Amino acid sequence: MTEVLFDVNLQQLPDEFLTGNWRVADRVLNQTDPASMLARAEQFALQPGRVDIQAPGQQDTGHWLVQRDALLNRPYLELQLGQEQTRALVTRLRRSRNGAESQLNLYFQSGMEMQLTQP
Amino acid sequence: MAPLTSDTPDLKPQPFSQPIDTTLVMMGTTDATGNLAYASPQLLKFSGLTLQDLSRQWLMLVHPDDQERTAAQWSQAVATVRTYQLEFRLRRHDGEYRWVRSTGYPQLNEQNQVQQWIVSTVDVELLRETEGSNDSAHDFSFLAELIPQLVWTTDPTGFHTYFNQRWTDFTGYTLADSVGPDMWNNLLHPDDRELARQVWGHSLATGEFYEIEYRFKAKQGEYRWFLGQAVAVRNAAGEIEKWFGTCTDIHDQKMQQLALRKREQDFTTLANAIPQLAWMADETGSIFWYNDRWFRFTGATQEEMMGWGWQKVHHPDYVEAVSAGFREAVAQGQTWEDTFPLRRHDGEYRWFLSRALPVRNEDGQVVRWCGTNTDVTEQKQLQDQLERAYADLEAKVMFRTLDLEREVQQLRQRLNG
Repeated sequence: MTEVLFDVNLQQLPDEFLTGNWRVADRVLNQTDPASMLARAEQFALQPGRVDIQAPGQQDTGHWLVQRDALLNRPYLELQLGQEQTRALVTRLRRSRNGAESQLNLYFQSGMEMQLTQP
Repeated sequence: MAPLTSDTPDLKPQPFSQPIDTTLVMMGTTDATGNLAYASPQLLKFSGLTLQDLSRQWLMLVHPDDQERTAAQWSQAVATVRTYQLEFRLRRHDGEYRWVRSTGYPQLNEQNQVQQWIVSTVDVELLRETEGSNDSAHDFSFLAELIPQLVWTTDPTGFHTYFNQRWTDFTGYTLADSVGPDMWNNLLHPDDRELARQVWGHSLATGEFYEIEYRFKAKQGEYRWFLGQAVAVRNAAGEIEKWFGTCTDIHDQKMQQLALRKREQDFTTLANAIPQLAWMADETGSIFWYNDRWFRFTGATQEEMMGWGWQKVHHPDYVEAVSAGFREAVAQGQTWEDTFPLRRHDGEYRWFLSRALPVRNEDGQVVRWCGTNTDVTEQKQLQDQLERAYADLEAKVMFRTLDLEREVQQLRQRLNG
């Protein structure tokens, strides 16, 4: 049964809320190259300092960091992958009361918007 | 009831005249040919005979000296269909002959044919004795004609024996038309007859005070509401001797009451049909009425919600501020408005825009508050989404701007390098 999800205050977001195995639930490419690895990604495994991305017939590995800027009232992710380096703004994170279910919205440099869910 | 005919004599008592003591009047009806069909208990008691015997032998009860004359006068009256009045001596059950006055009234149908005869017989000796000695009868007469009610009496069985002038004036029915066990019921509105019969029957059976509201037909044809009341008059042994009753015209009050009830029904219909939760509070802000929609939404009972019980269905994070705001509005006598969540019967909170207006009397004092709660959950969600979308857009623009600045700096570094 789907739990009720609550918005997390992004200005006080603990980094560990972003870790885990995320599944891509929805995406809007906008100007992003649809053939790119990120545009086709289906799974994101975020572990401390390490990221693994799965796409059909492809995978990529790299590092990730949570960055904050005084001019932005929310954090963004710095992704250094084998194929590309990019940044993604965290626009929304919603979690169930026990943390078993989460929903993460990212806005990439390319203009792509992506919704990730756990489990 | 037989139709009123031009031949029906007016037996209505004259104002302030002495009414006939109900125990003195003996009533009977006969068919067109003079066969006795009904005899009042007084008549049966007087004769000491059954109806059947009385029907066969009534002429034999007439004093031998009066028999021939009485029979001739009676036969002529029946043959000519004329109202008659005969005086003769009639043998009582104890063998004593009493002077009686017997008056017969023919009841005609629309074809002018006799349907029945109504015969009233009065013990004139007893009447004279009563007239001479009973001052209370004068008092009764005076009062019965003076008071604004319709006045009537019955014997212990409910047989009507007397009506005052107002009854005749209102119904258009003479005393002769009105007397009997059930004549009055025919004048009632058809919708009231059964209940009246039941209530009256109950009083007759138990001796309990009789009270009912019903509609009587006026001689002009329209119905008017009356309050019928009757009390049993008992003898020293506690037995019911008669019933004394009145009918009080309450038509105007009843119409106002019915109009008020209709207005209340209209108001309730409106209050329950509107899509809002609605309520009313007294001048102190204590709520005394909610519409049905409130109870359906909250699942609460009236007892729980009276006064300030509404706080039970408020969100704990908001109830204090909401209560303070409403109290302040009540203290100031100013319009109140607030938006807050209310708990639905299933536990879900929904947002409501709530407003209350003070209702003032002619002196400008607040006498009550009328309030509504309008469900604005969807609007509030849309508003929240819109605000979030604006905030997201602002963050995205800033995010892209910072990216551009970063790229510009990198380009400068390369050019300078």
